[in-house]
Amino acid sequence: MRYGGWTGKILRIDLSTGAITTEETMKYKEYLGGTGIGWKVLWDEVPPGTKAWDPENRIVFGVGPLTGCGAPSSGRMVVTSLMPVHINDLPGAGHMGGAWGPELKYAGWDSLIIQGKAAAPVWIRIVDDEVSIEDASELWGNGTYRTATAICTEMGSDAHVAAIGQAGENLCRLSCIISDRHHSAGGGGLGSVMGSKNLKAIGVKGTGSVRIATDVKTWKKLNYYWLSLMGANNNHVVPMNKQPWAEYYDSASRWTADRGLFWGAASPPVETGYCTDFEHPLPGDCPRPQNKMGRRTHKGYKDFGLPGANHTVKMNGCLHCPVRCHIATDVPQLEQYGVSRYNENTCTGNTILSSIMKTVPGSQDSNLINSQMSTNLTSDYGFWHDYGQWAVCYNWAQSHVMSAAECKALMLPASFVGKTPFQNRLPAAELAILSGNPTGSTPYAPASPWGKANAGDPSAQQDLIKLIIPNGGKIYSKTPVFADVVANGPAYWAEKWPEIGYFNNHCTKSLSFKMNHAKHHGAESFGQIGCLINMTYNRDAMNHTHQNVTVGPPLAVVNQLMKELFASPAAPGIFNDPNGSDICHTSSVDGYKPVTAGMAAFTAACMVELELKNAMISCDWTLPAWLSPLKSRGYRGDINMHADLYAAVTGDKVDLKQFQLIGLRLLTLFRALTARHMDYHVKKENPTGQVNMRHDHDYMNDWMFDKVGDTTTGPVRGPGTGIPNAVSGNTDAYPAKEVAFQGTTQLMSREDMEKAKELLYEQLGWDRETGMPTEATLKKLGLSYVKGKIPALIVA
Amino acid sequence: MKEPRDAVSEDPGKEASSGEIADLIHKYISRRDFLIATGAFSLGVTAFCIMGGTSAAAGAAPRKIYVANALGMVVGDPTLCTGCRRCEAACTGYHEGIARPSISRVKVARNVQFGVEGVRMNGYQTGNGDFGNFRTIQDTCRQCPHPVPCQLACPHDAIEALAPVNARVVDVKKCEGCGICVQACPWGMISLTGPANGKGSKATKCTLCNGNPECVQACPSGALTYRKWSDLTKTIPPRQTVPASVRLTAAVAESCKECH
Repeated sequence: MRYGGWTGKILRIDLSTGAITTEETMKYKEYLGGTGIGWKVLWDEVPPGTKAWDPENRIVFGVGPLTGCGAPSSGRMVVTSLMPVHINDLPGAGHMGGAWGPELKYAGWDSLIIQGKAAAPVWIRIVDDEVSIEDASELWGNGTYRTATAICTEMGSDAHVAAIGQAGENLCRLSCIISDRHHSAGGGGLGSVMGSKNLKAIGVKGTGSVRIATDVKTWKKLNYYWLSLMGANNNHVVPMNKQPWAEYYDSASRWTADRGLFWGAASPPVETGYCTDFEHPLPGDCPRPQNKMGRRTHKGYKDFGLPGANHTVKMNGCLHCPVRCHIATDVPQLEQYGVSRYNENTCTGNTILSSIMKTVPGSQDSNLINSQMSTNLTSDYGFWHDYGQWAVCYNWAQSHVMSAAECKALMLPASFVGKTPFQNRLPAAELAILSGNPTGSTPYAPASPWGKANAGDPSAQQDLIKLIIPNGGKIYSKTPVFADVVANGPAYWAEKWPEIGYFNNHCTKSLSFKMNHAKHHGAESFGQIGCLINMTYNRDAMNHTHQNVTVGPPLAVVNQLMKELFASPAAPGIFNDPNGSDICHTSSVDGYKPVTAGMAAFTAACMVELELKNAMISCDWTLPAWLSPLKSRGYRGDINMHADLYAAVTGDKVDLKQFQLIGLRLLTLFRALTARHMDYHVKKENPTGQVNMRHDHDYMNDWMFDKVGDTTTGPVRGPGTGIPNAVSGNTDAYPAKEVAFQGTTQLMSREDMEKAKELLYEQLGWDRETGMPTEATLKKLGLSYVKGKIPALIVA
Repeated sequence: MKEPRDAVSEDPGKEASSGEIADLIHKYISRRDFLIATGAFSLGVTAFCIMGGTSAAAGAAPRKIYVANALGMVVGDPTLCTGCRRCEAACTGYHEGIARPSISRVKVARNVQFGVEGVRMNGYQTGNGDFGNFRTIQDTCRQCPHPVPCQLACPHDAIEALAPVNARVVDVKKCEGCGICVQACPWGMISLTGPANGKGSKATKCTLCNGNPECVQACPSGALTYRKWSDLTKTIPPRQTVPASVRLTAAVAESCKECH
C-alpha cells in the first residue's frame, strides 16, 4: 500500500566521495523515522570503537511520518549520531525545532544520512530532489546568523538552513547545530560532528507535500480534537493563576496568560488575557478559545518575570505548533554592545553564558539583558549548553576553595589547598587575561572578563566566548588551557581535573546525574521515576514526559488518572501494574515513598512515549495528552492520541498496544546500541570483562544518596569518586536532619533504587541482573539480529 | 479538489426573478442580466459592469467579466502572528488533505525569516521576520475589485467570482496550469501545484472557504480575521512587478470595450 506521511525516500550523502544516493524509506518502516532510523543506521553501519569525529561516524538528520503533516507539534526533527561530549562517544540524539525538518520533508526526504569527511569546507544544498555539495570556504569562520543569511540569499528567503558556528568548526565538544536563527540541536556536541566532516551547513527548500492518508473531514476533526486536549508548554493543563473560568490552578504551570499580562514589546503591546480551555469560551475576551492557544504560554514572564514580559515581542516556536514556547525579545540596551536587540530562545537556551554572570544589584533588567546577550552569542557561535552543566562546573571551578581534606582524598598537591581549581590549574598568563592578575585572586581587575562578569557587564560574555571558542582553532587561543577544559564539557574536564568529577559525583550543587552530565528533571520529578528516566540516556535526559505530569490538577487527581492508565486491571497499554499501586507523589508533600510497580510501569511508558515522539516526530514539551484541560473529561487526556494520529496520517492502522511495542523496539535497540559501544570500551580495558548495564550504565551520582557524615558511600564510578563524605570533608551534601524527603531535599535510597531498576526492567522485558533485553524480548520486537553482534550480553 | 459552486443559470434567455436580481452583484452579469439589473441599481445595488455583447469582434468572443466586489476578506495582524503557520496547514490540510505550504493560499512561509522585503546581507538584523525584529507579515488574497488582475489575465477563463461571498476562485476544470495568473497577481498570492504547463498543474488561490476561512479558524493567536471586504489594493505595496508579457486576452479586451 501507499502510505501517507512518509515521502518514501531517504537521502544519503558521502562527503568523502561526493556520492549522493537515495534509499527506500520502507526498509526502515519498523523504526518509523527520526531516532528510530538513526539508531538503526548506527547499529548497522557504525562499528563500536568508532569515535564521533571519525569519518565513519554517521550523522542522521531525522524526520518522521508526522513531520510537517500539519498536526499540532509536528515541527521538530532529531539529529542522531555518536556524541563527542561523551568520553566513550556513546550514541545519542539532539532535537531541533523550527521549520528545518518539515522543509526536508517538503523537499521529498524522510531523512538525511551523512557520512565521510569532505576534503575542504562544504555546505549541502537541497531544493526538492536537486541536491548538491557546495563550496563553503567563504562561509567557514562565520557565525550561524551570517551563514544562514548568506545561504538564503542564494536559495531564497524561504529556504531553511541548519548550520554550525565557530564552536562546531573548531571541534569544541560543547557545540550544537543551529537552524532558523535560534533553534538548536545540541545532542552532546553534534556541531563538532558536522565540523569534523567539514560540513558547514545544510540549506533546504521544498515545494512538495506530506500526504495525509485519512479523509479531509476526519483529519480536520482529529486536529481539533487533539487541540482541545492540549494545554500550554509542557502540556500544563491548568493556568498558573487563579482564574474565574478554571477549577484549578498551579503556580508551577506555564499556562501563564492572564489579564493584565502583556507581550510588552509588541507594537502595540498585546494582552495575553484569559486564554481559556475549549469548554469555557469567554465572550468579548477571545474569538474562540482555539484562537488564543498561542498566547497561553508567556515564557518571557515565566522565565524572567515582569522585565521579561516587558521585553517580549511575541512568543515564537516551531512549525505548526499552537504552543509557542520561544520568547522573542526586544532588548534595546544590547545595541550599545554591537549585537542585535532582537533575540529568541527558551529555558536553558537563554542562559548558556549568562549563568556565569552575576546580576547588577538593583537593576531589574540585568538578568534579562545578560540572558539575551547570551542567546545572541551562543546561537551565533553554535555553543551547546549541556543543560547548564558546563556552567555549574565553571562557577564551581571559579569559586570553590579547595579544602585540605578534599585535596588529600583526591591526591592533589597540598599547594592546591585554599585556592580555586581555576587558580590551581590555569597558567599565570591565562589567569592574568581572565582576571587581570596572574594569581586569579579576587578582586578581579574591573576591565578583565571576570571582573566584568562579576559586575554584570554583558560585554564580559563577548570577551569570554572568544577565549572559550578561539576562531581559527586552538593555536589562536589566548587561553588554551582554559578553553580546552571549558569548551569540551564536564566529562573531558573531569578527565583532566579530578576535582570536577568529584564535584559532579558528590556535591548537591553540581546537579549532575551521572557520567558528568546534567540531570534533567530527576528525583524532584516523582522521585524514583525521574531517577530511572535520567539513568537511561547517555546525556541529560531529554525526556519530559514524566515532568509534564507533575504540574496540573491536584496530585491526588493526577495520581488517580495515571493509575487508570498504568496501574489498573483495565489499563489500556502494555505497561501496567494490575495491582493498582500509587504512581505520582512528591517528596516535599508526602515524604519518601518506596518504589512501586505502578511507578515502573509509568516510567516505562514515558520512555517508550519519548522514543515514539522522537521517531514520528512529535514534541515532548507539549505532549503526551495523558492529561487535558477539560473538566468534563475529569481532566483525562487520550492515551490513544498518538497511535490514532500516526494511523490517520500514514494509513498504517495500529492500536495503542501495537504502537507501544514499536516504541519499545526503538528503546530496546538504543539500549543494545549503547551496551555494544560500552562493552567495546570495557573490553579494551579488560579483554575478559563485559559491560553490565545495570551497574555500569544505570547508576546515579552519590550526592543523591549521601548525607553529611556518611562513611558508607556505595558503589561509585567515574573519575575522582570513591570518597566517603566524612573523609572528604564534603559538606555539600544533604544534612542528616533532612533525610528522607523533607523540604526540597531529594535524598534517595540505594536499596530502593536497585529495586526500582528491577521493576522497570520487568516492564520493559529486560533482564533483572544485567539490564539487557532478553532473547525473548528481542524476538518479540523483531530485533533478534541484535544478538549476533553482542551474543554474550544477551541472556535467554 | 471540489469547490462549492452555485447553480446559476447561464442561459441568457432565462428571465430572472427578483431574488436572482438581488443576487446579481454576486455573479457575473450578462447583457440581459444587466438590463434587468439596471432596475436593481436603484435598489441600492452598487457598481457593476457588464460582459461583452453577443456580437463577436476581432475574432474573439467577449468574456464575462466579474465586477461585483467580494463580500469578505482575510486580514492579518502581524503584531499578533507567532509564525506557526497553522493557517497554511489548515489551508491545504482541510482542502486537499495534504500539508503543502508552497500552495497554501495564505502565505506566511516566505515572510517568516526575512519579512516581505526578503533576504539581504545588509542590515538583516533590523528588518522584519525572525532574523530581524520578529514581525511576521501574513500575505492574504486581497480579493481584488474589478479589474481583477488574475481573472483578466487568465487565458482560459478559469477564474470566476463565486457565491456566497464572491471570492475569486479558480475553476480547476478550466485551469490548464499555465501560471499566467501567478505572474499577474501583483501580490504573488497564486501558486501552481506543479510546473507551469505541467501535466495536472493547477493554480491555487484563496476561496475564502465560503465565508468561514479555515486559516482564520485555525490561527492560535487570533492574528487572522475574516472581515467585510474593503479595497486594500491601493494601499498594500505590490510584491512583484507584473511582467509586460502578461496581457489581457483578446476576449477580455473585447469585453472591456463595452464600458471603457
